[in-house]
Amino acid sequence: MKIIEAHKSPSHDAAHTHVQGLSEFIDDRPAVAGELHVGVVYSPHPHARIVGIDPTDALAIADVVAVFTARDVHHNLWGPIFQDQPLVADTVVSFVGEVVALVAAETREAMEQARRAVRVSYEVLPAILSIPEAIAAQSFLGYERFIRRGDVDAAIAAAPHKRDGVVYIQGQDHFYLESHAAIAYPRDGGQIEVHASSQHPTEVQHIVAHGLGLRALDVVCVVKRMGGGFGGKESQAALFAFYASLVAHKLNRPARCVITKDDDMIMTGKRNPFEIHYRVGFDSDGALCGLDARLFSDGGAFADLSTSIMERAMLHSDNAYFLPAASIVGKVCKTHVHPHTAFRGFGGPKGVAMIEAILEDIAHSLEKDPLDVRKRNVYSAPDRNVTHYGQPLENLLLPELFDSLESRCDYRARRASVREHNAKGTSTLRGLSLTAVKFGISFTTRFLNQGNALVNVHQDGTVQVSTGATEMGQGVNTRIAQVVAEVLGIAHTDVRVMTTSTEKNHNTSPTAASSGTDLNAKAALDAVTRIRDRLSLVARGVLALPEDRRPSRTAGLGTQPELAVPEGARDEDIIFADGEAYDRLDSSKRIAFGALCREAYLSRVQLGDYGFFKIPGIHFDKLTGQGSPFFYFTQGTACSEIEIDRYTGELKVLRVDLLMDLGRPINHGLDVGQVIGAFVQGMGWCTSENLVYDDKGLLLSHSPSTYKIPSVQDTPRDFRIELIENHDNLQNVRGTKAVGEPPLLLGLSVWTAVRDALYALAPVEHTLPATLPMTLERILLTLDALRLQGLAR
Amino acid sequence: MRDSVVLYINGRRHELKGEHAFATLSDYLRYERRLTGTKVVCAEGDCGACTVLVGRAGSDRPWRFEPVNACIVQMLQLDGSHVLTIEAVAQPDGSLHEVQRAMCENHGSQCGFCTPGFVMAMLGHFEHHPHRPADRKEIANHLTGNLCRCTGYLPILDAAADVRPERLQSVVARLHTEPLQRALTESTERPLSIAVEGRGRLDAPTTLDALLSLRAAHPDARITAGNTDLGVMINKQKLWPAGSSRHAITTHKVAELDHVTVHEGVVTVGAAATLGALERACETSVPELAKLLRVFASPQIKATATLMGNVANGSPIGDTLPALFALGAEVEAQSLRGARWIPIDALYVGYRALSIAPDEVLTRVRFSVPGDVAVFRAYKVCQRKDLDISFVGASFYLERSAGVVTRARVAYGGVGPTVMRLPAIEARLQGTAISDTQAWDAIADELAASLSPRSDLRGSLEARKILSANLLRKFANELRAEVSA
Repeated sequence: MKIIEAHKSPSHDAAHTHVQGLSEFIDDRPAVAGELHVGVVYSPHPHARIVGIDPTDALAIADVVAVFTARDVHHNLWGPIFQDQPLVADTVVSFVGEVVALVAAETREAMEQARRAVRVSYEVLPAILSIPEAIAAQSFLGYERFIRRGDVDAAIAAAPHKRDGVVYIQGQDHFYLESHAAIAYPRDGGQIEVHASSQHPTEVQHIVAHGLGLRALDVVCVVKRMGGGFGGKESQAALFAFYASLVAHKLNRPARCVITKDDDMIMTGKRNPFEIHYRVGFDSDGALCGLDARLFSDGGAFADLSTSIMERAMLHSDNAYFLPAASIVGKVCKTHVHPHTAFRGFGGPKGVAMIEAILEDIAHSLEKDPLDVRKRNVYSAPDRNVTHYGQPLENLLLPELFDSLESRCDYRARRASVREHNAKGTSTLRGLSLTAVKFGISFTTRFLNQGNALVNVHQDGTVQVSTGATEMGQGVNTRIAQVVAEVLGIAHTDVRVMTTSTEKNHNTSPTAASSGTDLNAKAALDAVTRIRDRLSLVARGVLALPEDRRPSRTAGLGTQPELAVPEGARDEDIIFADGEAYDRLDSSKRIAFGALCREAYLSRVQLGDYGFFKIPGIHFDKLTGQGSPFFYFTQGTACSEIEIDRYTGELKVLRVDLLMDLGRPINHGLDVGQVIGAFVQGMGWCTSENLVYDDKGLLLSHSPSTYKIPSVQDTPRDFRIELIENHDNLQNVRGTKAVGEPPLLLGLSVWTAVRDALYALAPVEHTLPATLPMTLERILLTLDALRLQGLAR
Repeated sequence: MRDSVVLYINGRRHELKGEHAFATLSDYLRYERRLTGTKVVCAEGDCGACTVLVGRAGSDRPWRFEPVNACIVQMLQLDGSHVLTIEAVAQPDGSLHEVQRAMCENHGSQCGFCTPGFVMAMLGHFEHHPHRPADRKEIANHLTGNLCRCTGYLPILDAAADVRPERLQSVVARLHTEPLQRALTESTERPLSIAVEGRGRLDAPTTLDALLSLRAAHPDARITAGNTDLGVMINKQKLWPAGSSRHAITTHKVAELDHVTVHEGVVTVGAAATLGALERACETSVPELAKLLRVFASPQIKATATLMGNVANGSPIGDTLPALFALGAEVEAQSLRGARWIPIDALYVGYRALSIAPDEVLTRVRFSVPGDVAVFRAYKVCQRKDLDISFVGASFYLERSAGVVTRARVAYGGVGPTVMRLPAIEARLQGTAISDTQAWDAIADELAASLSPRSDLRGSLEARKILSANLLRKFANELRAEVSA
């Protein structure tokens, strides 16, 4: 496989202002006269009846203006899939952190004081706080989903070896640095302009409208940028935008709702915890014969996106491996914790964690190198390349990615040295693991796979582009600008992607599912291509005229006939490059792009356009669990080597090698940044990020002092990232591949490497618990259990 | 007496009277001065998004600009300081500073929310080391107080490595002029006292006598030095919640307390001395303590937090406390009635309860530098190696002769209501041969059995016991390895 050579690529379009602290986030907006601070009052109980809400004391505080409750909401149910969640709890609270009242005050101090002064009385009800409790109580959200291939019972029964087990997977907090925030401005005639830190402005617009009893035309949602999103601002940002809007609407004053990190972590949902029960049959080589898996997720109190997340977990239960027979069943548990939600990878990481753990366990039981078991199972042409849901794999690179990384990272020699190190019985234990990712690109809900874009070319030849994509650091705007610039042959700095707003782009999809560039750059491409075509005709016409008869000299006087530019036509001999348009056949005929735009304007040629794109050829029947839901797959492999301190359970990631197929990256630097960032985030989920709740459903680890995302010192000591050259993903915009989520799943190689290290101490018949994350405490307890069983030392 | 806080921000003088003096620096910058480049994420000094550089003079050191968490420092603490924010970093002509250029070109910034904090922390490093490229390990150590959720850090480290010393411009040199420093010093020589009806009172005495008098007159006031703990409690509405009145007395201007000395084998640390100053002073005399301080807290915290803050806080984990217990430290308490030295293990009488009188102020900590026959080792185990509160902390001090332990001090944190010495284990260790693996193993088991830690969000009782025993084993193993080496 050829590796793309690292090269300089354009910086993020906001990098220049980011590094100067000049980039504007929600709470950086200057307060306008009369602006109010909105505070939330939320439930301290996981499940309770609201007996009464008494705002008297709060309203008595100087500078407190109003207290609002569910009675002030016009239509109180919302949800991205099922409308089952109150915007403000009315009769019952269903999780700790559910909002029961809002306070509006002139100052932050008064707002903080008022939040604590609203007296809410509750009658506490019994709560369901875990997946097993929900299963016992048959408390579920949505209906059971299944994906089936063949007769899995027969396949497992006939297999030479069988195992069963449970995989326990904890949630993960998004820990975007900018907590939820919104500011709403009342506009003429009851309109609301709400600025939100949201991945989904259209949904904010809709929810604000229906919560306030307005129509879509009354609400504009503006998203300049987010200080990180990672899925956490896909659905749940709408709540906070609504709270600001409610106050703005009721009091006809601007209102700011900025949540603290502690409240944000307590109130909002996380990556769904999963509990997966499986049976698996395999042969003596470790080849899978059948997999029967029942996936249970903790959806929290309301549906949010959990059913779609479950669907993606089921669709990724194969990961890179062929399942000859499978039964994958998914159920979302309804509990009394915050409604869990999208998080980079959606359900994917959970399905993949399961299958990678199973393969690791199989390898141990057969005394084989886990890499050999993985390679035995990897999808391959011609007859092991159809997924369990029936989608054939085209452009399949997985076998090659395994082989290539195996040799590039010197896997076999390092395996031998790890074995040798562990045999010496020093104070440390090492583990090595090479895993893969095959991530399906597209929303599994077909109608979300559409995008629109507005492209405005100005008379100086600079371009403003607006799309529904929201910028959260991933660089989608930079990539869109590059794609547009490439078509017009101008510098990417001559293209600016503008603030996202629902008045420019309608009915947009969330910037999620790694689809931001795919959908929006393609829609922009659609628009700019038409503009380029018209300009090619203008150029042909203008270049044929002597200088003094061009529109720029004559249009004011009207002495020349207007250039004729028929719609839908293009002059293919006009080339746009290096800021000019020129005739391919006579390159002395050339005009600067800006001058050309001026001539086009004077010739009354349309310099703006609207583009639309929908992903073709995808379908998935959610009731039968069959179809081809994905446009293509982003693929990659990772090899991680770790070291554990046998005394303390402390973990070091010694070396990580990543090899990814991202098609033809539009921006190498940004893509590599996504790969590194996602990997480290995935690694955090697998190791140090531990969500701890008390027995009343309150999240205790609700700030960085107790919730530990990786720090600079936790990154791999030796970290190598390579992208392969692949020019075959032609169906996607510019032949690129989506990158946002897939590398996160490679972080699981750190988890399997920890298990690999611990397996070095365990006899062949011993199976390690499959629990994620492997925190220091879990590693320590596992080491101790192995020691007490006389297995270690 | 003065009634306004005087400081400079980005080269300009600010005098804060009344209400404003009660703000945190980040609120003041963001909401009063529209300097919104300084971000607030956690409001507890754990993420570094609010990092600014603060320059100030210590009694025993020249002016020094260090990274500080603006979210937990109160304006009171900044009296006499010069604060540099992200807005001052670019050149006056609008061109980027070298650190900013490197961050841009190396994709060191994605969403941008943590970026100003990283730039400031990195700038802090290069202001001190302008003449050489950054060493990767050194810069990573310098960035442990800054969290980023987007980049995975590698591009940020690449950016630091790409900073070219010949292109570095000193922001401090540009803005911190000689006349400015003189004016600032002169106008903050006198003690400060601000009282605002309904908000409370702030005092910044400049002499120990004045501090002791204030303490005697106001036994309910909170004494604060770096404010890294109180600041968190205030922000989280656990101390002086919105609408309440406060009284804080800061020690940071009491020159008599701002010192670290190593004299005739004794280290003495004044109550106003920062952990950073202690780390620098111990580098050669008690390297093990300096090593502990490296992972103890971020550079931002160490630039303001004090050892005495850690002692007075009396946390049952109290990361430096097991070390001080094992070193046999003593703590000085002073009042107008006089001074007395208290052995540190007699200072704590219960969960965060100290055996001092209401009019007493803790003024100094002292301990002996471990001698040649001694071994001193401090362990801090936490989920994340850096910038995390210990799960269990353990420190060991041993004297040995002919391979046998002759004296031992063993102290643990995170396993009871206070940090504690373990006299029974110390007695068992005395006379034990370092090479006697079985004996150490048995003592480790006894140690675990003797403890009754609690389960909390950092870990279970079980795991704490296992870890406590294992730390003794680890220590023994390291001792043996040293002997055989």
